[in-house]
Order: sequence, then structure tokens, then C-alpha cells
Amino acid sequence: MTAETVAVATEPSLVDLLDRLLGKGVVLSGDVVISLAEVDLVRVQLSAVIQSVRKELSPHD
Amino acid sequence: MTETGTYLYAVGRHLDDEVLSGLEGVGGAAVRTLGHRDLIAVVSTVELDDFGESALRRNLENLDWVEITARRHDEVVRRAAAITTALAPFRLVTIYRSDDAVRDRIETLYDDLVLALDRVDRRSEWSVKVFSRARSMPPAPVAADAASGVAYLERRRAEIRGRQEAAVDQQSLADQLFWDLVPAAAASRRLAPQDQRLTARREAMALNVTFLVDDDRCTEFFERVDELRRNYPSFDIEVNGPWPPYSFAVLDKP
Repeated sequence: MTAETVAVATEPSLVDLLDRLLGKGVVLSGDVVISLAEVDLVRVQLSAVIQSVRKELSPHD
Repeated sequence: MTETGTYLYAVGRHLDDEVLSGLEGVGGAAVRTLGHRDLIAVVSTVELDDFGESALRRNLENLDWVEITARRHDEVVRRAAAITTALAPFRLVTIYRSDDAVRDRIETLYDDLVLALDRVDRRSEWSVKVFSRARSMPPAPVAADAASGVAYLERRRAEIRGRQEAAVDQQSLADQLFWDLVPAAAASRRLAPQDQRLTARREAMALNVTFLVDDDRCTEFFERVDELRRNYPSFDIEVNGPWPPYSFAVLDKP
């Protein structure tokens, strides 16, 4: 049994990527912490992004 | 002159500058490395017109921008992960005012970074998604007086109850499957199951987990997954990876 026989070796989906790159489940989390400069933390709402991911991937809607 | 910042992709050990330089970073500038103590930061310069606070607010609302940036970020992190055993990836759009600010940050986070790097050293992340196979409920036995309204309602109630019980059963079965897989991994993290509209699959996602697996125990992990496929025929198990250890090296401290 090798990795190739089990794993799907395709380009990761955007949702899987954002699940990880944003550090939290993208479907649940409403925002992401962005570190700007030394201490500034900016919270950016990602709901619009999630909405458009949904719209893009959903066949109807 | 346009103001610039330094975009931080990851911090790792033993990263060879030659392999990474020349790689295109987010926004188009070349990837570089910055050394601090025994750690090396993978960075590139970004223009604050695109990556400053107000620009980010705007750009993060634009799915195309998010996708291009996320894929470029992932590409750089994967290239870096390929040439070292220990890499701590940073979150998307982690930006500092200057290279010196990155070094200051590494100094502040040094102990945590070392811990994170030790944790992911010689390990990779594997995504495991478990889908409940769509099962048709067995038809309820038809009573002799099935045509009567009362019998119909009884049957409907029984069907609904059956479906609810089946859903609860599936969830606890999925939890059991998760715990069966845990011993084969070094660490695990449960993510929120993805919306059915995002997965574009008919079956509901019962589990969305990500595992940190020792590189030399991968075969064991896959064998375990295959065993679970046989033991849990009502689930479809999807394994995807290896990923850089995104879910296990994230520093949540501000």
C-alpha cells in the first residue's frame, strides 16, 4: 500500500485550502485575523467570500 | 514611490535560499529568505496598494483575488516544505512593514516557533473526509388498513423518527471512526464539516478531520484507513495529501 493508491493527487479545492490557510474551518468562521505591522490586528469579514464560493460551486442557487 | 511591506509565508529550518529564490510570490515579486538565529523566514515584498489594510479589506471580498493569492501562497509553502523537514506555515496574508519587523516578530515568537517546528518535524498533514453514503430507508411495513389516514400518519411519523435515529447513529458512528484513526497519527484536528453546496456531493459530510502523520508511519496510516473502509461500509472515506502542516504549525498568539 503506497500513498498514491489511497490519496487523491489532484489540485486541492479552494475550500480545503482556505480551511487551512485561514486557520479555522472556513464555513464556520466569520473572519480572519490579519497581522499588519508589529502589533496591529485587523479583522476582516470573510462572509462575502464564503458566499461567493458557495455561489460559484453550487449548480443552482 | 509605492509603499511596500514584507509578506511572510513560513518559517523553517535549513531552507536553501537558492531553491526558493526565483520563485514568484503573491503579487508577482520574487520570493526571498531572511535568516534570524537558526531560523529562516520565507518572504516576498508586496505593495501596500494591494496588500495594505484597506486594500485587503477590498481584495478579500473578491473571490478571484483570494483564490489566486491562496494558490500562490500554497505553492510557495509547498516548495519550501519540499526542501526541509521542519516548516511552520503562516496564515494567508500575514504582512509586516519591513524585513526588520519580520525579524523582530521571529525573535518575539522564537520559543513558540521552535516548539511548533519540533512538533511538525518529519511529519505531514493528511486530510480525511468521511461522507455518509445515501441510504434509502427500508419501506415501513404496510398495514392492512394502510389507506386510512391514521395509518398513513403513523407510518410517516415512524419514517421521520427512523431517519432522525439513522442520522444520530451515523454521527456517533463517524465519531467512532475518528477515534479508531487517532492512534495512527501524531495529532489530529477536527474542522467544520463542509457545506454540501461546497463539496458538490450528494452525500453529507460526516467528518472533516486533518491528521498530522509521521512521514515514516504513512503506510501504517493508510492501512488503517483501508481497514476502516472495510469496517464502516456505510461511509465513503476520502484521503487527500500530503499537505504542508498548515493546521499544526499555526501560531494563534497575536
